[in-house]
Amino acid sequence: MRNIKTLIEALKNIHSKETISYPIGEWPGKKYSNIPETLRGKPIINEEKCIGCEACYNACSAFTIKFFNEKDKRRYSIDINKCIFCGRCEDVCPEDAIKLSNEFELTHFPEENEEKRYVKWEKILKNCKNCGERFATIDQINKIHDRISLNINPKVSEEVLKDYEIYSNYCPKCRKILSYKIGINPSKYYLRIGKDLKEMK
Amino acid sequence: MIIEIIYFISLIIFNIFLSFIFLFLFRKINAKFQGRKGLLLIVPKDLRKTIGSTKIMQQFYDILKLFYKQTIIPKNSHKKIFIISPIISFILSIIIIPFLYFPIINDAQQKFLFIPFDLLIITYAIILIHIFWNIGAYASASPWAYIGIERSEKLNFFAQISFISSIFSIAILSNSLSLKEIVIKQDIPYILLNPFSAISFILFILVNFNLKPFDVSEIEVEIVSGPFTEYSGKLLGLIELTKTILFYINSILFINIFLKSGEFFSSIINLFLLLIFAGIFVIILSIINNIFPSYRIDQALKIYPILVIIFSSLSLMLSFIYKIFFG
Amino acid sequence: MIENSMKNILEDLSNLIIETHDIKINKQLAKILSIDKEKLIEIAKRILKNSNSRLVHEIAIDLGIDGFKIIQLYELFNSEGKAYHIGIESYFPREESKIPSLAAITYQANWAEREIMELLGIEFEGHPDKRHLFLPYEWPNETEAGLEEAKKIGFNVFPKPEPPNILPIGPYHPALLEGVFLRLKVDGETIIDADLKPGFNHRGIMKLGEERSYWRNLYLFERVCGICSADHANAYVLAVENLFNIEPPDRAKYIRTLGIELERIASHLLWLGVAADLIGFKTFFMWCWKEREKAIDLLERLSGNRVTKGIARFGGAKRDLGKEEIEKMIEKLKDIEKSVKNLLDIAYNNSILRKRTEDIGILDFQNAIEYGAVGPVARASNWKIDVRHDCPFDAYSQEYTTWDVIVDNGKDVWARVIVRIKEIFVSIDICNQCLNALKNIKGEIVTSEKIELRKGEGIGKVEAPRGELIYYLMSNGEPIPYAVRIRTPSYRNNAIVPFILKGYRISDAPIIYGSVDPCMSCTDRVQIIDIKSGEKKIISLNDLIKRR
Repeated sequence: MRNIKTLIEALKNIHSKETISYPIGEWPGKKYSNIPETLRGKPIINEEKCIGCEACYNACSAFTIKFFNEKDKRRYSIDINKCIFCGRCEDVCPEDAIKLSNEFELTHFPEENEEKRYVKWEKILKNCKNCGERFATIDQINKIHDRISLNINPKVSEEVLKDYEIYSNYCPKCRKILSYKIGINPSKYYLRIGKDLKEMK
Repeated sequence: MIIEIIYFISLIIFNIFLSFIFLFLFRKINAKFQGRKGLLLIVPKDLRKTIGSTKIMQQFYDILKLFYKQTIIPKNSHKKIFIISPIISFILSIIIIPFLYFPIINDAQQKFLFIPFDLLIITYAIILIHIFWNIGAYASASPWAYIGIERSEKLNFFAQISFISSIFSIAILSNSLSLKEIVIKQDIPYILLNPFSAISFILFILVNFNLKPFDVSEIEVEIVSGPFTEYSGKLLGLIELTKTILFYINSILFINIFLKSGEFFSSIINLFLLLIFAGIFVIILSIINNIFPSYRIDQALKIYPILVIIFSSLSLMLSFIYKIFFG
Repeated sequence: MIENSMKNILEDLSNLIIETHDIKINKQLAKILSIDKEKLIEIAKRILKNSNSRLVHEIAIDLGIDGFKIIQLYELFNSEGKAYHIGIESYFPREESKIPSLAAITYQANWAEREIMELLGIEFEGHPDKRHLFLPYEWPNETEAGLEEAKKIGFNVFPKPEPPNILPIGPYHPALLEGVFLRLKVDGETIIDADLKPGFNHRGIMKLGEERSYWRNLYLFERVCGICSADHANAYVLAVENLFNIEPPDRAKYIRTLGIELERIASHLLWLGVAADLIGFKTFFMWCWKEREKAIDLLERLSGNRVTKGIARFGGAKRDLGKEEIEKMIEKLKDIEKSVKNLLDIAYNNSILRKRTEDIGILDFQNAIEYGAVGPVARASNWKIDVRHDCPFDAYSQEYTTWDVIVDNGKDVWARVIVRIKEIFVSIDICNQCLNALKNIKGEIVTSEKIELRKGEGIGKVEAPRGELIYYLMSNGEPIPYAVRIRTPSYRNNAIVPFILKGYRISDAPIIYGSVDPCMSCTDRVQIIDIKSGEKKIISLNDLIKRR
């Protein structure tokens, strides 16, 4: 009869191993299942590479990355319970400091909130010489220095870097107010051009 | 007197325990054919930390848990009949147990309980259990139950014809209505002498227990469990317990009547042979249950009566031929 | 060819047109004609007189002080079988918000107009069935038109104990996977009439989409449906690319196509198991879902997740594939092909399965066009429509891959089973072609063009496993879209269910309803935009102000 095919398939299935046990803790069933490395799981931070530019804070689709200032440190935290594992922070980070690992067992008891629910890191801030406000992280200022020295025209790099070292000590407001006093106002270049023109004539 | 009572109570408890083992076998084979693990008899070592280290029998706990849940009785139903019917069915199913034939134990049993027509009692009790279930379902006012009963009555009409003809053809062959004499008088097992009778019995079981392909009256997808839709809590627990015991009784009855109840040798091996044959019977039923989808009611009503009429008339004719020519 | 047919129609209607402009749909250009609102029905009749034309969707947008705008989009086929689109739009002020209804002519616009009537307040004159579609019948108060109309048609609207000849396959039932209210009027075992009411899974997604910027919406629209999530994301990305005129590179097209086809394999295997369960064949259900795990493993390797895959990006794809992974994927696809052939053998040879699915739920060719079926339901009635063939996108056109469209002449439930199983084999073939092409082509996976915001409209069309999925975007220069409209294939397929249930038995109802592959998460995603004129119940102020 035609129905024999179903019977043969049923008898073949007796030694199939489709269900594997998955206990908490040690994981003997691991050899049967394979977790690919490209799984999108919990985000982890490499603290040395992060420069505190807050690109991930602007890019997060679920508004889980938050930060607040505390004395001379800025503390960042990611809330794992709200993260949707989309990967926007990984796309946008300029330093490759935040990546999605393949860890997917993220449940915890309410008492373990502080350790397991938040991913935390902190950066040290720099304060302005004039008004004392803390405006940027030290790593970010160093990074901008490195980037400028890579990309600038070698004829003018010395002067620009000298100026940079002066004005990286002041917050944006004080830079504008005190620009003549500390000697970084761009009018000095126009005056010089005017002098050169006069000499040529 | 007291010894008899203790004997009967322990016999009933032992048989109920055995019926759970048969249920375990049926569900486990179902699961193996489908490619999954099935239910657990003992908790494996890796899972003991999470579930607990007590060894459980899952099929027993599945029925026990129903006894501590809330029983809801629908407002529009006829309450007394709704409550009494599962209880009567359960009592009827327990009454059958002392009449079954077990090879070694039977001598002790026969001292207290010998009725020369116990096959009739068994037959009518099995049929009455279903009638009382259907009466209880009529009393619950639910459209799903009405559809379920309508289908079940149509199929059961033919199923009971098949059952009765199978039992009577065996009674004619062996010239008596007592289960003990049927077992003792078999020189050749009756399954070889009159195979049509065995097929009629199996046809009856397929409808009685809602095994596919004749699953029509209780299919979950269309009519939300048919006649038993409105039962919940303790009453549902009684119904499930009755179904388990009935499944076991029918299997043992089949082996008693058609395979000489395992009494081929004269020692304690007979008892094990009985249980092994019953186990193989359960496996064959499970295979049939797994390789077919279920029929629609009008398709089932075209095929089933034809099968019943052919096999029951053949089995009765064969018995009469043996009786006339071989005495 | 296509240009000539379009020119003929434009010349026919030239005295009624005020102006025309273009919309880009998936590499084709469609003409949208603006006309006066009184002439809508005349033009619709002239377009639908063609025997090979169908209505795609009817869209209404609230423009604030300027009034309303209504668009009807049609798809026509010329004599050689190529498809082109024409749309009709008209503007009208808020004070005169009564339009002649298109549902009086054809059933295809029935559900679309009911949705617009209940949520935007435009009134369609001559509509045969003015009940609410997604909202409860008795909202906002009991004397509304919805309640009166429901009583006229003969269904009791309140949840009281029903007379015994009405069977509620109600919001909770073991036959249904998701919540929908299907009511059958029965006589013994025969079904006389049926009615379907969706709306239990209503989440307000189109409204949420109008408050978020473009890239955040990508993650929102991915979560409309779990089984076809890559299709929704891909259609949205196509709509944005058509709106702003950017084109992804070749390698990204192959990766996106690979994601869509793998998802089609997983979805059809899921459906096969569910359909077997609805007959009562639990064993086959377990076997089909066992094979589906292999397809989902491939998707996990490609995208990183089993359900919400993030494969598409504006102008390309997110992840690349290396050489070793391509080899492993090709091997696993061979495994899947072998086991699906085995399943087809078993289903073809099991006599009871054939008897339960043949000759029920019949949908003729004429009725399929008239009622507006899409997807495998239409292809099983001998109507050859497929978005990948008519209006190709990504790597489906002739220069990238070659494949066939599967059509069957059976018209019943068994034909739909056969069409879906054969589509699995076609999908495996397309996947193999994509993987082999990916070995040789080199390049980037994201284009380097920049997005420049501009005013305009864009449409993206994709073939989901259930049919044709269409996204419509309108922007007015801001970084937030002004209007988003989604029309999913289950919307159309659920509307034809009452017609294919009549005359069959109760035992057939679950399998007939299951054979159109209902996905209620796709159907219930409606908008709550503005206040109905002259209405006391209002939506809270926060919803109108919040913009991000």
